[in-house]
Amino acid sequence: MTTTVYMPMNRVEGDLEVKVAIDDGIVTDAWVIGTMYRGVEAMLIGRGALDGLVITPRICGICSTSHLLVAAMALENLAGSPVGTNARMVRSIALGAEKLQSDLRHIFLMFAADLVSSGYAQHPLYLEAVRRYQPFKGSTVVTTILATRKVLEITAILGGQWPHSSFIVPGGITSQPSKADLRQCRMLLSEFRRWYERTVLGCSLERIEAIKNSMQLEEWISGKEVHRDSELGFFLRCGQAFGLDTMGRSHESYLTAPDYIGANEPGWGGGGFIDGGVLQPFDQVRIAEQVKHAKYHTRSSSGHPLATDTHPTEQADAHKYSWCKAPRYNGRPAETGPLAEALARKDPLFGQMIAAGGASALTRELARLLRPGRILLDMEQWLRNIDTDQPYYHPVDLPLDGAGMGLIEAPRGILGHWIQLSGGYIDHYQVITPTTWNASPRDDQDVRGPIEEALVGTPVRNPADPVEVGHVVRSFDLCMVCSVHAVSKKGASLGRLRIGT
Amino acid sequence: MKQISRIVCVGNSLVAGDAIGILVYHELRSRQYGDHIEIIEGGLDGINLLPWFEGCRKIVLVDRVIGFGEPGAVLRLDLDAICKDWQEAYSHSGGLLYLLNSLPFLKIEPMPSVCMIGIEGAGGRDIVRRAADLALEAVHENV
Repeated sequence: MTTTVYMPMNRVEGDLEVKVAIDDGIVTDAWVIGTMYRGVEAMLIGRGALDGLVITPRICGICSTSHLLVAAMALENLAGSPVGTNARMVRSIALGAEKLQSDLRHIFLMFAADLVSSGYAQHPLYLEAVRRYQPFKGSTVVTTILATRKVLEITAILGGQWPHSSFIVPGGITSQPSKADLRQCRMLLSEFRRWYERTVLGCSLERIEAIKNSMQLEEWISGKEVHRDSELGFFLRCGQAFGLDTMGRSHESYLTAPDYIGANEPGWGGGGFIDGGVLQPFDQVRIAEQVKHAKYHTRSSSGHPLATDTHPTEQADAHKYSWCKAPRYNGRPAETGPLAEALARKDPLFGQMIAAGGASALTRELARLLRPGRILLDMEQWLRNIDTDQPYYHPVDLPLDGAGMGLIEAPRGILGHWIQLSGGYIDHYQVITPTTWNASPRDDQDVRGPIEEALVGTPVRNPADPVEVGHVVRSFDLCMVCSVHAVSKKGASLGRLRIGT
Repeated sequence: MKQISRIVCVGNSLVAGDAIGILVYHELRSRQYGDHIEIIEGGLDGINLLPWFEGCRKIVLVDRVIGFGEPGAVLRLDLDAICKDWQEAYSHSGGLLYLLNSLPFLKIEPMPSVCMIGIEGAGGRDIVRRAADLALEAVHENV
């Protein structure tokens, strides 16, 4: 017998609802529903060229640096103006800080909270999971809040302001970090690295980098008690014991933005689209949004982001079920995030894991848990390489008319802004966030979005408490923004009144 | 030397229904409030507001609330009351309520006294002024 379960997702930024059909304890179909209209693009039309720098960072309270950066890059792309090395490195450091805090908070505060679900109460690892992951007070929760609190000071030092840093502008950055500032940033980063190695990994970054396949990972866990009991070791043991490695396989197509800002060679920075195990070079013209199942006018809202508008329908047809559009690359759905990033980078551990069994909820979280190691090494290098005698800003002559785009790998995956100016005013603006890729509805060919596909086949022991569905959905670390930051006394579980996606 | 106290105003300046905390921020900035008080625009931040809770004697949050009274009501809520009502309230990155619920376990020294000025409804000019009055009154109180 098929049971249909609607599941509002708390601990997901903004509004999201997941509907799954369960037959004999297995999810047989799924629909991911963005329940509210975002409308930021419409807000930007007719405004001054630079207004996107102020407005788009408010799309998200978590990834505001990412939006600020991409908005500036879109204008630089429009102007055909390259950015100096110093500015690129400072921007990359700020973006790295945003990723560090986002990755670790997501895993230990939000994802791991499901591991203390009462459904696991009989498992031998349950009590230890509660000790570590209990919301607000678990030992891992507390140490993660305190450690990630410090790393964001780096952005405050480099940007001269926190929160709402607005130091990234077309042409570079407005601040001029001194040698003393950079020294302070290095100290903060060292402190974070010590915590990450000692507490999260239980070993050095170099030791983790030496792990090239899942067998070596198992040997690492069982090799030493300190590995086994580290946050990484326990999370993996717990995830495997609770079956997270057996659920969440999606289309096996992955998309990653080129690292234009971190690259030593401007204009190329890797990234790409992986389909059928083959990595293809990234080309943004292959991106198109489809709206057959999204609540927008089909004629005007489908196509490349520079050529389409966002026109909501007043009375959507029954088959239109989400306020998310369905972005596609080469006509294919693609998941994005730390796992896609690792695969595009040809990381041997994740390459072997995906080749052996495809993605899972646990693989995605493992990629997110290990990404800070690489980010830390990159940030250390950039902090060493900044030359304070060189400028951080070059004036940009912004044309009154033209089009441009900015793309980066934000904390949750590929983030793109497309802008068109006419007479110095914004004539067109489109934003595609990582969650739009991952949480997209079915496309024009009725192909499911990445999360919808990942949910099919998920075992559900108790439809009244489908925690397994939560594992799969959360492994994509969704961010359905913007949130209205109000609190409701009677709201059952959500701390904010939301107007998301 | 007097210890610093902070008023942290929270909200989204781009969303009329949630902008009132930010309007109160601007109202407070136009007033005389003393050099031992800092007025902070907290925006949409949650756990990222933690640094403002450190090194001060008192935190007064200003935010919109729902379900406490009639539209237009301006209320003072203490930390214990907030946490009692909102145990389950947090977003994916750990919102403000996650931070408030975690505060007792973070071992902040000294732990500031925390209260919230909650505003029902989107508010108007008089309500903004009243919330600013209450915030200043709360921040000047002896702990």
